Amino acid sequence: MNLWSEFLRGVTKDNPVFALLLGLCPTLAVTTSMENGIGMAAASMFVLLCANIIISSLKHHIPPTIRVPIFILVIATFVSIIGMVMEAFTPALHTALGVFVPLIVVNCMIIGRAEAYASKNPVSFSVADGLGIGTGFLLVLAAIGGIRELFGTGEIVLFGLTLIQMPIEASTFMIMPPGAFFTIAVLMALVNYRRAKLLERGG
Amino acid sequence: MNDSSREAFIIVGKLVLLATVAAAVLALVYVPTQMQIELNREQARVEALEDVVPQAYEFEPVEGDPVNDEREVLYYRALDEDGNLIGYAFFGTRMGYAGIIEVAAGIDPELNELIKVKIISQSETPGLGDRIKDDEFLRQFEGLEVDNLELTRDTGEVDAITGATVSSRAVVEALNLKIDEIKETM
Amino acid sequence: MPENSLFTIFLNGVFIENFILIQFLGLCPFLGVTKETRSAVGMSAAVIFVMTIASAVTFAVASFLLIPFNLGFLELIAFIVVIASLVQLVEYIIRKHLPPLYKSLGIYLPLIASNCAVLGLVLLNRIQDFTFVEGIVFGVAAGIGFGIVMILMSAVRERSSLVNIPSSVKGVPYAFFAATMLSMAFVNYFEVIPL
Repeated sequence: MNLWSEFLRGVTKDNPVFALLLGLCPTLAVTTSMENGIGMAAASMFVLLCANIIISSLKHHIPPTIRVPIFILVIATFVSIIGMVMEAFTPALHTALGVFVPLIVVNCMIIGRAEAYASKNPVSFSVADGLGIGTGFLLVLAAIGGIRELFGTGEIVLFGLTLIQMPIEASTFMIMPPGAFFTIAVLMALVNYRRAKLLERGG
Repeated sequence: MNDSSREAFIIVGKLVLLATVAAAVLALVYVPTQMQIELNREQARVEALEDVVPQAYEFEPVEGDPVNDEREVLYYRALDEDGNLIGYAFFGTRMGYAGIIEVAAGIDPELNELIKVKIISQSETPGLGDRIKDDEFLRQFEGLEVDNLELTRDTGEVDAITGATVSSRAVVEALNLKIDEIKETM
Repeated sequence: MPENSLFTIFLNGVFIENFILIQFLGLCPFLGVTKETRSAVGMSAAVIFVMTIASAVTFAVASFLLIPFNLGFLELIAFIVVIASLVQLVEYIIRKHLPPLYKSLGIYLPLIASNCAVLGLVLLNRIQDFTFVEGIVFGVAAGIGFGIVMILMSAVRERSSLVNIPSSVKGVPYAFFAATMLSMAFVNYFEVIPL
């Protein structure tokens, strides 16, 4: 077990969205554009990382009977902090993400990692795990956001830069809520297909 | 003190300690961020006013009747360099499709014709409802008579954004509500 | 919509701002508890109950504690504590009086505490500046909207449980495809209802 493999595990095998089915609400709700997806994932990653560090360094002092309330308290504190900081310094992004910034607190991904990993492992590994899971989350949100933005508006604009432009008839369907369900359904089916293929070859 | 009550005491103590630390940290973050938020708001307000009545030299706030010792700014009188009234500027809000839409607008001194409209904040669906902030939509309001300030399908002259009628209508309503309010106070 | 009457708030909560299909709140139970109709109904009832009470209690907490003492920055923590305690209460009542329901809801009942639908509701109530009554109406409506979608979805999944579909689409991807169509109906995609 080394730090790098712990990091990679979070991105691929234990990918929060496709493998663990965690954090689905923000995955679908804020991915109307790539920028929103990345902003959401970055905020979640900050909370995940900080919560992992605190919980893993306090793990010998947390009485098992009240560990869940303590986890929630720690997570809620960091969520409140990132919410206030975003409102002050990135107001446009904060408005776009709306209620989903405070809702990071109930993202099962974060409390799940606290319970399953950070409360049992040393700080360095918990950091690697937080970064890995966070990156996995970021990649998925950026991908879904990118796909929806590209087919929904015909271009991807990231932080004021136009990345790709496609001469297609843009369909607002992809930007609207059904487009979110459709995109994740297709992606998830592809991931499952690929995984089944890999298993077949392996066995 | 027996063992179990001692344990309970430690547990409660730890929870209280952690909660206190959390509250203290949050209070520490709250103060500077709140100041920054206030600053952002003030700056956005000034920029918006200058944007919706470009010829104005200064703006004079007009306050409503005090409610609980707090006076709310109803609208602004836009003055030129000699202090002549050249129009009014105001902010209006209305619930859109996904959240509250805040608009700023400038209007001529007779309250007949809009000068310019700007969206201050909105959280409508990107690519759809959020096109209310595009020039294409907002240009329609420049020089528009207040009598025609309705969506085309509601007997007015404002073309709604395709697929975003709710957002478009919210903008129109936000303007109309505030204009009516200003008329009442005069 | 001309004004924010209670009726428009209600319709908004049930359909236009449907929690699952439009706002994407509460997807965990949507995927987890819709394999059979019975548990979907139980879950929905529990959510409606918790949402209604949570609206009322958080309104009281916000207007009598947080705002007068200028503690807005503790809002999130306070709301979570309120919801978690409410869920404990509901769990206790159901376990005591309706043991079969308790069995079928399984692990999802305690999960209402970390269900983003309930916390989302109380936060939306605050953001939209709802009064006490408006908040409760919106809470009931959101719960009903949640329930309608849960029951629709569980019916779709029960009916199609024997359909032969490719193995990689089975399960969650299939549920998302079904959700796509339901969601199209809820956003009025084909403009069946002229707005």
